[in-house]
Amino acid sequence: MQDRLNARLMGVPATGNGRRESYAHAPMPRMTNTFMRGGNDDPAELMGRVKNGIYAKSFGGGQVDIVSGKFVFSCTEAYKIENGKLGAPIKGATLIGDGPTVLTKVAGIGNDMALDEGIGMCGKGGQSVPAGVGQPTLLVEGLTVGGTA
Amino acid sequence: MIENLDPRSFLYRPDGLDPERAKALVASSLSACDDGELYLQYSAVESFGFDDGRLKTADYSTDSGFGLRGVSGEMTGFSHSNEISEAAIRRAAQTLQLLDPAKGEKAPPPRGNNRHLYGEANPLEAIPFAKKVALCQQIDAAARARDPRVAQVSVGLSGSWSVVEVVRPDGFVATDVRPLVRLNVSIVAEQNGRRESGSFGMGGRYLYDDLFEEGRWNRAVDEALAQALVNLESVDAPAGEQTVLLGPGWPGIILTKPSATASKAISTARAPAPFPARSASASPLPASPSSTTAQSASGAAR
Repeated sequence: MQDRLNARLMGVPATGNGRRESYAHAPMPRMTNTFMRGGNDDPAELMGRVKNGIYAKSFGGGQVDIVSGKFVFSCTEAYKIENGKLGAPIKGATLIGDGPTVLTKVAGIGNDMALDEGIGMCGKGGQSVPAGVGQPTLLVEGLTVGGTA
Repeated sequence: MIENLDPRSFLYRPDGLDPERAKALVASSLSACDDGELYLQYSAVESFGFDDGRLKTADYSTDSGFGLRGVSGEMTGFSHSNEISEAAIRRAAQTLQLLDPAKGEKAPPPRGNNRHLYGEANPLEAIPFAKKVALCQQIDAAARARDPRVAQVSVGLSGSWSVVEVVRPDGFVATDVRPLVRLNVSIVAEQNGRRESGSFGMGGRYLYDDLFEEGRWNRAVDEALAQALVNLESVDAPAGEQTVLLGPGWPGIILTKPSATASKAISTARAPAPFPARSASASPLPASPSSTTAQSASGAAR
């Protein structure tokens, strides 16, 4: 992901990722709409594979330290999964991990890729710009859940 | 009236700057640079906050200005002003003289492979103030009528319209006119003394029309309410390493983020002002005395 300045300095093609919040901010390399493509798995079948785990349906805010890739996100809607079935809703679950490691633990990719509905703002270096994200239902084996019980 | 105006007339005014002068100024100001551009922008932003059954905030503001960037080797010079005029651009260009003259080859212009993904119409103008407030009221009433457990409803409606023109020293010019709208519904539900919340938001680079469609905003109410009611029944989350099934869509935020280069905060904060307050500290070089910190022309609610 390169803006014109960094692409030139690194001797690679620019990728059109230079963005700025407004005329009063200098451009910097930023994510644009970023998503993971869908796979072949039926989302219900993915849930069926889970003996004991959680289903994270929606997130609120979160933070990523992108030097290390570590993230913390709090779930605004999540459920237990017990024997492949949706269980009780759970409160106060946070997901903790790092992106590159999570990607090595993906066990299933749903065929239901969806984009978010236009709610994301991404902050970096004091500048805030709108950004879209998306992914299919994703089965991740082994993510740290910060809970209360 | 306004909708018939050329959007560029918000940037180029008879008493300010004209497109040909802009090109000539940029060519001379950035002649010693590898890369850079003049970025001209006009924006209008509004937001409505509806809480406790009444309109709590209504903001409207407009802003315009330019940022002049010159790049030489690894150095970037940047100067900005909220006055679009030949004199102000000349003063900004003086700041860039601090840069060492570039020795490399001039950077080529962008590829020009952009496509129009949205129209030029201004969402703020298309729907009158009273209708925006009425939508907030309708949403509030609809949410409260859905379920007696609804204790609080907050609605955030916001929109912006921005005209941007990039002028490069090689004469390349690109113009973009950007609408952006957003609707957020947050609901607090109460049952047996326990209160829980749910929220739903949607938006994008289109006009308000979509958000005003009954099916669309009702869905926002349904989703926010369902989430609040689900959370009323929630039990403590288990802790420790778990198998996690991430839902489609927005949960992609946890994986898509770690591919960039610095620490970031991600939010779904409602009614984000697309162009919040600015400060001069954003410029890597000290602003020249002439390049004033941009300030939103403060907005009387209309």
